[in-house]
Amino acid sequence: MFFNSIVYFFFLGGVFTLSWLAAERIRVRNFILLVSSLVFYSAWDPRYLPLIITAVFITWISAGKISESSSSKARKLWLFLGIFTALSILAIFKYASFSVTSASYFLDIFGLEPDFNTRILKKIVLPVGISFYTFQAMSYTIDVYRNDLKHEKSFLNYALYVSFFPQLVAGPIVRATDFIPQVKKQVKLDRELYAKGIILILIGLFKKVAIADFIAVNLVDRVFESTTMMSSLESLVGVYGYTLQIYCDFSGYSDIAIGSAALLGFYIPKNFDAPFISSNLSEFWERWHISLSSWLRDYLYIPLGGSRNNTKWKTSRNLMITMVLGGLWHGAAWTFVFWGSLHGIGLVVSRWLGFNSLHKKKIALPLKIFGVFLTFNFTVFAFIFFRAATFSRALQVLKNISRLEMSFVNLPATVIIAIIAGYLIHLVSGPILKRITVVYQKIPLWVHPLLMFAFAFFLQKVAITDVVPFIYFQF
Amino acid sequence: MKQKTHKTGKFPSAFFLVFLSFALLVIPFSFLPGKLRLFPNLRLFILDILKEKSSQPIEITDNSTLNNNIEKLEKTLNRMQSKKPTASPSEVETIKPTPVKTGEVKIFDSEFLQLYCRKGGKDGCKLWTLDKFYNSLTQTRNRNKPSIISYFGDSIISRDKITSRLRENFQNKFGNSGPGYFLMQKLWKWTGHKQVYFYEKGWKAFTILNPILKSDKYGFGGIVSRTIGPGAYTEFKIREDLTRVNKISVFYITHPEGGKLRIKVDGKLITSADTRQENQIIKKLTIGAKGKIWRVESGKGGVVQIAGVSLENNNPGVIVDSISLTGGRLIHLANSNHNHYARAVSQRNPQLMILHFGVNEVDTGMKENYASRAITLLKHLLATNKQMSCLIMGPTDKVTKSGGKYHTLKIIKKIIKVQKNIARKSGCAFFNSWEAMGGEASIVSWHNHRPRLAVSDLTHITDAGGKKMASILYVNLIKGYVEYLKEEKSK
Repeated sequence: MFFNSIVYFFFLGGVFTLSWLAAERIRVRNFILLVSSLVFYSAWDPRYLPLIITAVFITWISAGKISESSSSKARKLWLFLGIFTALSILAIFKYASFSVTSASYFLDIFGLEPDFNTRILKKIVLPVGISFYTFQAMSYTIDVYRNDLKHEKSFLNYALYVSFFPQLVAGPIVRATDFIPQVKKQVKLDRELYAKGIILILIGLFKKVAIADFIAVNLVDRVFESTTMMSSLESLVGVYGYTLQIYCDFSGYSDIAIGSAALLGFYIPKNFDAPFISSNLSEFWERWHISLSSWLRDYLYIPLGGSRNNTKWKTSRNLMITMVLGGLWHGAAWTFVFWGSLHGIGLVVSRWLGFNSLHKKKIALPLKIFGVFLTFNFTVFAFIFFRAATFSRALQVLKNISRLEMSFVNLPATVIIAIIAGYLIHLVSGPILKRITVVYQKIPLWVHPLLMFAFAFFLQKVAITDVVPFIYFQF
Repeated sequence: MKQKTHKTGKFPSAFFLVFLSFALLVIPFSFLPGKLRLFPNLRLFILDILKEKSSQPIEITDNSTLNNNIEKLEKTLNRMQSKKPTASPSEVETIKPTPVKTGEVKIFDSEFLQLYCRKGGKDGCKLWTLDKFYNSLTQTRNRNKPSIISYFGDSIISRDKITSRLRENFQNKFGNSGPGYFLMQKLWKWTGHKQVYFYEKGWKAFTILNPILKSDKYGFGGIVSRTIGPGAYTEFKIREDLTRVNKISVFYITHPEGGKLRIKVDGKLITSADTRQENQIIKKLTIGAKGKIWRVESGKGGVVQIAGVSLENNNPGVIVDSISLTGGRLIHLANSNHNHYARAVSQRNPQLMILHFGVNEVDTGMKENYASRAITLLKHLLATNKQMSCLIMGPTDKVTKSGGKYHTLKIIKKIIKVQKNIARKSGCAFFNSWEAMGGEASIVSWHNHRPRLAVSDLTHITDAGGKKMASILYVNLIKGYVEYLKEEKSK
């Protein structure tokens, strides 16, 4: 059940009705939301339902034991169990095949002939949302261990926090400190929250269907799959197109998730904030996939030592480890590791040159523009390795661009318009979004179904392909 | 409906009514007939809930199995090629001669390829439908001559979809003789070739899809590009990491008011030809040179008509031409000028001609003379091109949905039957693409497959689907070749 399918909106409508009918009885409402979330999850593959339930149960038990124990040793042991469970699920279902194949490859280089049977591993299907819910469960256990958070005694509330369907399969990675207090109280849906929810869902759908899927099918997929048939100009536009595609795809998903949660009366923090106007890489990571970058900062970079009281080399090492693992989080492939490493190197160099905090200072406009240009093009370049199935394909795309062939027969005007529209809509955040919400609020409610109908019809016409899965579902 | 405030914990009835009204608007519009049906997916979803789950899953041969098959078959070929008799007894077992009738199907280990006997006899079949091609392939393996496969198709092969992988497979095993035949123009923006980047300017196209030329001569690819005077050109940039080119053949049609055509390599003029002649006949101009950018252009004078260009090298290997006629049907070729077409085919001289049409016939149907015209043409081509074999590829799957289930359109099965009959009667082999995909409603499984093997119109296949289809075809062609070699050894 994808967010961009009409089926989802009937599901959301059903959950909306049931949960609000039970709004006065918090436990019943939470139970309805939990069951709905599990139904939503099992719509992909019910076989993986026990997996999420196991992860939720063990991390909840671990956190409970941590909170009960006064002995430091016991607390550490329970923390280890919680993290070990979450990481084991990730290791088996996401990284086992990759690890064995890579080990086999390296042993082969050194003349050893390993005989690993990777067939069974290759048959393991990556459960949707695994990277997201394991990270949420881990962060909860760590927060309880650090005494940053009181253990939630209600299993129902905790299970709802980890499996809440709007953010279950592709984030944003919500912190327990933000979410659990909300499940404990009665919520209300005023006109402002309702308008915000609807607007975010509409923007998200537009980004996904009208921009991301459209340019993917009409340009980007061709550039990365039939590379040698595209001219340099087409490949170049395709590479910029992919950067926009992944933004519109993922931020579109986040918008729908935040909007859906809003309609149910819950607040989920934003995940993107116009990342392509960042003047340096540090700022980019403060605006791109905010929930993941802040997770990596709080649970990996800072525990490694961060940048405080450290030498330049140690800070660089910490940055590199964080970004390489961040790359690996996105996918079990060396191309993702390379993508993470590129960003790591970029952040290290940026820090050495003193660019990392430029966005927090007042700087001259030309310098700011130069920074935005440099940062944007660097991220576009790095995304080539993110998108390409193999290194050789990524190099082929780069080689194709360097041929300087200027033909554009594969560049229909509609694709160019979609790309321009996409980069413009990317600027819609913060105050602009608020303004749109205010305008929408002022429209009489009886007009809303008509507007929604017109929008659904528009999307139906624009969607040249069927429902296309969101890119981040595979992570 | 207007709500000013909403209390905590209360049911937001006004907003609920908004959603309900939206649903009540959308659902009826999903069930309206024809073009008024605005949300077809919703209708299918509701029908699926009310009735049984849609299509049954089809088993799609995975890529590793296909690659293993290719590897095994190629190893068998290598063993059979070696001069020492190292092959297992089963591979060289003597086949007892039994009478075979003309038109009889060959029994061998192939799921989708049907080879028919072209010349039957009491001592067995004297000539199977692909024997000429397999004979040429043996000569290519012995480094004596190249083998040309000319693959014609509708949009199924656009963007070099099936042909690029087929070319790759053949060239990896038998050698690379170059990228092959090109039309002078990209009539459709999705036209392309994996080994060559090309673009053109100034030509006007005349095609067999809309035959308006008085001469009725459209060349080998069914499209002739025409211009008057200088200014028109087509430039081919060779992807040197994928292939080599050291000779070019230009197929042009003379004209009473003809002009000049010129061939340039890396900017240098290497030859030119006068296209003026009283009768309009197709001619071939071949010249060798070294270079990366090959350009064919019109020069001073009158009318220049070019049917296509072949880019090749001197290495004895395999060439796979990709000639895509989007919207084309078998009847378009069948209705062409047979004598002119046979001459054009002779000049190109392919050892295997593959015809992959059928899905467009779904919309237009097959007229009464569909089969007879096609049989006449194919017989004529085989009679005038003695060293050529031909293969008809049946249509891929196309579905309709009724009662919540996908079904293959009845006409697809009818087209397959008719095309199989055309193949048998004219002396061509037949490949059942529909069965190769998985049969009944298999396009749905191809669409649901990751990566997608078919696009959501449930008609066209994707690049990945093209590669899969090419690999299945290659496996079956090589199985036929192994069988041919066994028979040759036993003779």
